[in-house]
Amino acid sequence: MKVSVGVATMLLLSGVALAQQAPEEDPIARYLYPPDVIMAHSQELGLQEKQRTAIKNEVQKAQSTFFDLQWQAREETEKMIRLLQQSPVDEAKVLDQADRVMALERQVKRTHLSLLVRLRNLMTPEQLSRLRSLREKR
Amino acid sequence: MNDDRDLRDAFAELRNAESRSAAPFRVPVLTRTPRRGGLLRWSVVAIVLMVAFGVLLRDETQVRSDDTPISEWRAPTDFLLLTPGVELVQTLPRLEPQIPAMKGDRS
Repeated sequence: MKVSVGVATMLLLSGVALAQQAPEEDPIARYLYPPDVIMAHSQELGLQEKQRTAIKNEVQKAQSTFFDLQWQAREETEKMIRLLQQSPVDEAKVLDQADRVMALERQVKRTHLSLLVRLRNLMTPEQLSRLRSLREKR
Repeated sequence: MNDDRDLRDAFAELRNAESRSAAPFRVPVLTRTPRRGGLLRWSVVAIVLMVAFGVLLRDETQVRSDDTPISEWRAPTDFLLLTPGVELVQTLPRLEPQIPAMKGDRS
């Protein structure tokens, strides 16, 4: 009787714990792994030299694009701020400028997503499952 | 005497009829033993129900998490703007002169 009550309590607690598991924060990011995470765990993942080189090349390529795009985005944002400081605010001009800023943001996101997908595709299934468990531990 | 015998026979007949339909003594003894098994069975049923309840609760939480209010909505691709090395573009290095503190200098 005591044993079954104990087991029942344990299972009840585990059931509640199961219920309380927080859902993943980001629906897309949970499937992707940033390059710094991969490189920080390169030993645990058993990265091959070929993989390291490929990751480095992809990151370097993406980073030069990021730098250009982010620089442009800053300039376009400053222009938009100046437009917003006027009184009255010219709505049409602000929206045009916002389109420019958002177009640059879109390019940044696209380049970043492309990098993350390529990095993911460079990983073996074992490395991916290791990365998944490393993320769960954090 | 004859009446007594008749009476005894009638009672014997009644007893026989009664004993045929009555449950044997062994039955109540046997039913006591599976009571422990029954308790165990109920415990197992209770445990299964509790776990099922937990799983249902979890599904419910997941459904609710998809159903977040619009004020808490976050663009699902926003994390892509946080590119590796973004801090290099967002900040400029501050070069401050490194003057060693002098004796008696409180600043």
